[in-house]
Amino acid sequence: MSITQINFVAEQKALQITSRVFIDDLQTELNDRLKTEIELATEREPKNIGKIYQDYLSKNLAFIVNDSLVPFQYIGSEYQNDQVVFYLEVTAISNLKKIEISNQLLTQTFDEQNNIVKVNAFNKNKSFILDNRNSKCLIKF
Amino acid sequence: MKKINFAFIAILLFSYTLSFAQETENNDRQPGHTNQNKFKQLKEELATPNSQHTASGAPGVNYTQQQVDYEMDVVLDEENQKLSGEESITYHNNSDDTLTYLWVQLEQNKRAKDSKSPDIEGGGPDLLYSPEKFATKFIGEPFDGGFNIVHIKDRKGNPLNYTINRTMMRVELPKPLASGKKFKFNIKWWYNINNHVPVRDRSGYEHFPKDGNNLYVIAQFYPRLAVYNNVEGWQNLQFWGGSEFALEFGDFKVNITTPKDHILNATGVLKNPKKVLTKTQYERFKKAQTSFDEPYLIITQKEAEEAEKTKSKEQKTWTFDARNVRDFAFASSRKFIWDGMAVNINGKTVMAYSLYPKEGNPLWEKFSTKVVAHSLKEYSKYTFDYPYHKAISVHSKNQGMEYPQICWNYGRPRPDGTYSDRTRDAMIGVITHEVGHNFFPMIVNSDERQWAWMDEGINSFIETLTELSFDKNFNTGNLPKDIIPYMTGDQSNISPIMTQADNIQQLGPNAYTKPAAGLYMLRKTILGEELFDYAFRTYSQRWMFKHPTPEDFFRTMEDASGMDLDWFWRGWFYTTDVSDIGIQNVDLYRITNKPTKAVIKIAKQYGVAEDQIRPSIYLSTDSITANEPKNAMDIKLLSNYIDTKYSRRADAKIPSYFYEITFNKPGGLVMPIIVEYTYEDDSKERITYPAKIWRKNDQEVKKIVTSNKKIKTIVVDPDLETADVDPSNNLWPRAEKSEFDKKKEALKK
Repeated sequence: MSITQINFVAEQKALQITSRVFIDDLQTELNDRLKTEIELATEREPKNIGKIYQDYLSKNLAFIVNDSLVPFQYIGSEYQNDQVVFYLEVTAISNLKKIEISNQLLTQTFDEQNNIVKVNAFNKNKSFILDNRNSKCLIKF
Repeated sequence: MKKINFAFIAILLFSYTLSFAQETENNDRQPGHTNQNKFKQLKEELATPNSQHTASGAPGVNYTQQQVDYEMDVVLDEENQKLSGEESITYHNNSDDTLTYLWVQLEQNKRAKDSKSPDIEGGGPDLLYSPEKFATKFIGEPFDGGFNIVHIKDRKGNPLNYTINRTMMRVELPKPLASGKKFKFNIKWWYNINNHVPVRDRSGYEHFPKDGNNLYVIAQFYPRLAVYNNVEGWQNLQFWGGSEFALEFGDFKVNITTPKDHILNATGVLKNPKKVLTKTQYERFKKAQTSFDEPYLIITQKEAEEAEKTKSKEQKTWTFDARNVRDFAFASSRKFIWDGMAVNINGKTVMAYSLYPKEGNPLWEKFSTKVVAHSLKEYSKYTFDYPYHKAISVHSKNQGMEYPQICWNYGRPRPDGTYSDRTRDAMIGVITHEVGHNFFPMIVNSDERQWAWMDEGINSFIETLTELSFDKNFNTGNLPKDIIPYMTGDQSNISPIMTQADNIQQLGPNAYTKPAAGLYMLRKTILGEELFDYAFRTYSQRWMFKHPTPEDFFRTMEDASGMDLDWFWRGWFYTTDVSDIGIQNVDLYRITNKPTKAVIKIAKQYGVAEDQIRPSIYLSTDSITANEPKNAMDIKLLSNYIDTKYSRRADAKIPSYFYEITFNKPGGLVMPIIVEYTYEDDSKERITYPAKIWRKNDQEVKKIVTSNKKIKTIVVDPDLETADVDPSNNLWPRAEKSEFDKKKEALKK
């Protein structure tokens, strides 16, 4: 299971995004895709892990705002117990009308992977469960 | 509207708790409603108590429980990966009813060629497939791992009629079995042993290609009698693979024949150790029973590695005798290293053992047996003294599975023998949990097929306390804060805890974490340790070696603690509501003798002019006027009163600040309001208002807080005890920066 929370902060014209995945799951997925044997959150973690995470996220997470694909900034990550939390941001959003989210986190390795996406904007909450078969969701305002 | 005379109004106006809301008129006819109060008693949800399961939550005078004894001869044929056995079953009908048939569980039929279990899984094609996954799903013959029943006979050798309904078999009794009578019969069976690794089965073998050996963890391997109890009749729900087991207690005598070079351990007392162990092994086996400080090696890694190199064609037979257990399981391999340690449980010696291949080392020799010992001690504290003579932890890939006195656990270091903290902690966690299952459900024997939370949730809760006593910083993953992401998820993907186990969405958080976090909250925040521990121990001891229901748990916890917890069970166990309490508003009042605008307005409605209102003391937020008293003692009415009641004015502690705090509750759950007030001098005060504060208004409550110091900040639930899903409204004044913005700044540095 992963949880991606997307908050629209009108004053900053920004989507503030946090994504949580289990470290063990992500390690399995990365090694599966990259044909490596890296370890995460141990003393053996590669030095360029930030770059690896950024690459992985850019391939598996996408945000389409008002019909155009917008790149996100990778702010960083931190480990919280057995999870890794990613902080991402999409800025300069004017006149938010709809967001489409594509989320394929961990779906290559895990058959039963559930990716939960929660969106909060204009005081409205909406949440979706995406999986291997259905990796996109759309919310209109 | 009633006529009210002046004096009466004056009396009314003297009280500042006067409610103004009743003065408004509403002519719209509102629809009525049924009792939706969150504190409504659970009479409609819980089964009516009787003399079997009593109103106090204890077993009653007419409680009955069946007993089933087994004598089995089992052969593990490693060459053909085949397990076969013959069992003689004695069924004791202790119920008041006459039975005409018996139901027997055939769990292995879940793996039969014609099993319906895979058919209940829905869904279209996956986005992508690995070759292995594709092959498993679309190519090749399915594995045939179902039971082959050779015969079922009565004690005279006459065949009995039976009908197999997938994983359940109905055996017809030749004549009705009256209350108090017993029936003896015999089943002969065999099945193909499955490789448990690819599909994560609870039982089967793992093959080690490097040395060509297998490690067997064998369970639910023999036809087992279903439960016949006071609340379900026959518990014969099919085994779909998800929801676990319901079993009767009984005595087992089991002979297991394996290759001669295997090491085996199982439920029960090993009756022929001298025969199956070498002289050295037997001496060490005895020595381990006096080793209280450190695990003692009965078979060393070197010896295990030596045993891996050859395969004996000869056989030997292990004999076990188990009393009052609900099931029987065993593990066998020539790869096993074996260590043991004696544990003192209130003066009684219990053995903690581990069996592991070299692939488990050095992690297993270091931790496994010690964790078993620690778990037995801690669980005994919260429940009852562990009544069996041993508990075994067996290393098995991907497994975390429990049986009486024996369990399978994961935790494998890297091939070079090193391991991360995460691997170590996951292993400590799983061993604690699976050993803990000896208490729930192996002894406090709830119906797992029906209620996953009664064993998984209650066990995860004691597991959490046990892990925290092993290491106070242990990441248990079962604390109230840990369940928030699940509880805020999409409602269509969440079930109430009180759901039959096969129908639960997201079994892990639902049946493990949420009940564990709930009980943790009940102990730490709602009841307190003393009341909780007494009640929980009462439940454990009342239902030791018996079949409790959820009602028995809920009722005992209230009966023994003296606290009405129906609101908690209703919210946490019967709904998917979330906890969210916030601070909506804070007003600072001053003390004055000038009637407030609100009072003047109401007086006017009764034709009373301002100067006619009887002199009173007011708490006011109106803007201050010129001739108001500067402090409380300038109010004559008050100072006169104090002078008559106190010998010195200074003895009357009059607060300087009067705050009205409005707490709101966007969450559906009721919870105590835990508030921390921080004053201008940074001193702190913590107040907990009981959950019952929400009994008359489920949306918001107000509290007056008085002090001689100004309040600087107010925090609701400062220690994250109530699984409050939205921390943004827990703080007054509100945080200027969001958590995200704070993280962003920190990460950029």
